[in-house]
Amino acid sequence: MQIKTKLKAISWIAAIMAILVMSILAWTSEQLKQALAQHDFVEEMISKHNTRITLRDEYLLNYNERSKEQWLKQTEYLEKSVERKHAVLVLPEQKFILQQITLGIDKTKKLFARIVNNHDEMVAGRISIAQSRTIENLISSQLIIDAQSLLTLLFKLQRISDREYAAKQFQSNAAILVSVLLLVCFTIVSSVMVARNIAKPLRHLRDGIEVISTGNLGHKVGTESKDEIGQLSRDFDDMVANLKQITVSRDNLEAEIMARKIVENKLRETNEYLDNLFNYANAPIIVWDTSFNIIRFNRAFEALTGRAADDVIGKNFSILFPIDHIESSTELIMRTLAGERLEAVEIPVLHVNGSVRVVLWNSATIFATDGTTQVATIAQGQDITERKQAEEEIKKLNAELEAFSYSVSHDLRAPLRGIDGFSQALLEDYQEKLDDTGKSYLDRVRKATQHMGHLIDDMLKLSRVTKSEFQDESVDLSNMVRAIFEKLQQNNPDRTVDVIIQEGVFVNGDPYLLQIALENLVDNAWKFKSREAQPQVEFGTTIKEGKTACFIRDNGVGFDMAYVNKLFGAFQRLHTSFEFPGTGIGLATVQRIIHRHGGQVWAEGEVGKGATFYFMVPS
Amino acid sequence: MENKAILLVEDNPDDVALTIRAFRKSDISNKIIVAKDGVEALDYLFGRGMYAGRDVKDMPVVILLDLKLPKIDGLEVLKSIRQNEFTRLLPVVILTSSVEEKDKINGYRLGANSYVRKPVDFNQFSEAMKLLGLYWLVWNEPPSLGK
Repeated sequence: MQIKTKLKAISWIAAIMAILVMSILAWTSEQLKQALAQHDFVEEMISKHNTRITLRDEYLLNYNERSKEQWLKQTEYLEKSVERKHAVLVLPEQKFILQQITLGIDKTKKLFARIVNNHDEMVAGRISIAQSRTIENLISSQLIIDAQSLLTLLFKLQRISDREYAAKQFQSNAAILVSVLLLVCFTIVSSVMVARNIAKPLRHLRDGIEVISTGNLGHKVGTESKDEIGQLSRDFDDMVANLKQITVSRDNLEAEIMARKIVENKLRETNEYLDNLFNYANAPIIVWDTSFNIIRFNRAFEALTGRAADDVIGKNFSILFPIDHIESSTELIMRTLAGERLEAVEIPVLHVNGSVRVVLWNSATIFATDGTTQVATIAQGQDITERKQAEEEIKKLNAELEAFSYSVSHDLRAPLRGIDGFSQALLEDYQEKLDDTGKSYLDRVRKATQHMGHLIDDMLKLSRVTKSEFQDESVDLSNMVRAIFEKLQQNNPDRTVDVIIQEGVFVNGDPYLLQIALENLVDNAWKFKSREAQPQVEFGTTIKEGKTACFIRDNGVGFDMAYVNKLFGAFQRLHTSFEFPGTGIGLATVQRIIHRHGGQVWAEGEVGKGATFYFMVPS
Repeated sequence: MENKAILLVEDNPDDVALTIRAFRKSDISNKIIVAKDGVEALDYLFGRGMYAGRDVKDMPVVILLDLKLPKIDGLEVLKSIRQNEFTRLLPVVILTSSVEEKDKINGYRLGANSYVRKPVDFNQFSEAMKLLGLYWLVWNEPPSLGK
């Protein structure tokens, strides 16, 4: 049931109760009034009766006409009042008393009439005074008695009226009390009802709202109640649900804003980072737009040109080039507009002090977001002026070195040949004049000169390894090794060496250099034969640390691994020239060649058991 | 075989002496004309300077040409020889201490007939000279020149 209906009902009940209470009060008041009227009437009658007694006594005393008239008038009045009140007094007891009073009045009236008559007789003289007196005494006594009994009746009636009045008063009080109690009960009932139907749900709602106000938007306050508060609570739930949705959207929005802020910050950081990178990079960096006007110019560029960024920004980049290079440089850079990139392009740059710096350029085109419209070109330069100068220096040094080695090969050998030749001439032409010691000395001179000749040759080879052009092609090492062995066999026909060659060993490298390397390795294997074992040399490949390595193994004199570090040093020898001839440059040359190929070379050996030389060339 | 001359273009007197000695030991008795530099060599060939008036039709059977020479170097001399109508077919053997690839290539490119490196070892040097002499003086058939 709705509260409105309930309140209406309460109002109706209140109205009915008010009417009821008012009716009760009115009725009791009426009753009280009637009782009071009766009471007053009885009192009036007593008063009238007393007046009548006074008038009777007066008449009995004076026998004046006025008293007699008054008495009769009063009596009549009393009679009429009694008659009139007859209808008012309803109690049988009252009616009975009233009848007796009527009878009493009638009796007194008759007695009074006899007194008057007695007096009149006496006055007329029909009777004596004494007689009259006696009669009068009799009658008046009777009258007094009757009057007294009438008074008693009246008092009796008064008592009844009083009692009736008290009863009515009690009844009235009781009615008022009942009404008050009824009203109190009604007030309590309606308060309880209001509390139950309004205050309690409202408190529930308020508590719920408090919970919600702390941020718990999932809290429900809705009840099953069909009244307005129930409806209100459910509406409130709907509102909170909407609010929640709004809150969720707001939260999403806030999250998005937060994410954007983070991205913005990142972007700003990135921009700052890029700006710093751009400004403080060591490399000169420049950006020009599609009209070739400079739009950015970093500090390194300022240092390179001696110009401030503020002075060049907005100007055409041609101001950066030496006058005689403006055309060619501009043409080169113009190509970037056609989408071409500068890659290690040399363009000279003019310093404000007039000096020219050689700069190596790289460029990239910056496109608009559509990916096709060119916006600008960013170019990064590398000042290679010093490098250029150094390169020139190196070129010069190389030329000098070349001239030096040329003269070494030519001029140093000529005197050696002279020494050797004339020693031989001495031995041949003057052998009679030389004793054996002299001859052996000359032999030593010749051996020394020849050794020096070899040294010069090997040194030149070593120097040529780094100098010569490098070709990169697939080289058949197996064939190469075989050819070297054949040549050695031809030159040393009386030597028997077992040669084992793995077929089809190919590497990528420079054939000329690899030939020199293999010559040295094979020559060593051939040369350092041991006295005991039948010489055996093997060429092949093996796997070392997951990679293919070539090796040349012999069973010759080998070497002590303690000296393995000295093997590849130039002029380092592990044997005397007396044991094995050599210059100590061969393995240094081999190492240099393999290193030039980006490879590795190493050796393993044991004294008296042979040596194995490994090399690895990346493909 | 006519006793034709050998033109030895060599600035080092030791080498000259040793070369002649090697030839003699190999029983090569041809006349050996020594030019101590490129200018002298060309003067001889073209009958100029100190050789003015020489019968230029009398050409050496072979020219042994060193590369490193004062004034005009060996390759320049070779170039001049090959550019001249009368000398362009003359056998020229480059006899040098140099083993520079560059020299070999340039020598052959300019028309050298042979490239021989002088060994330090005198025995090998003698052997080389002997073979050289035998080949160019005995076995090689030169074209008739300037006729």
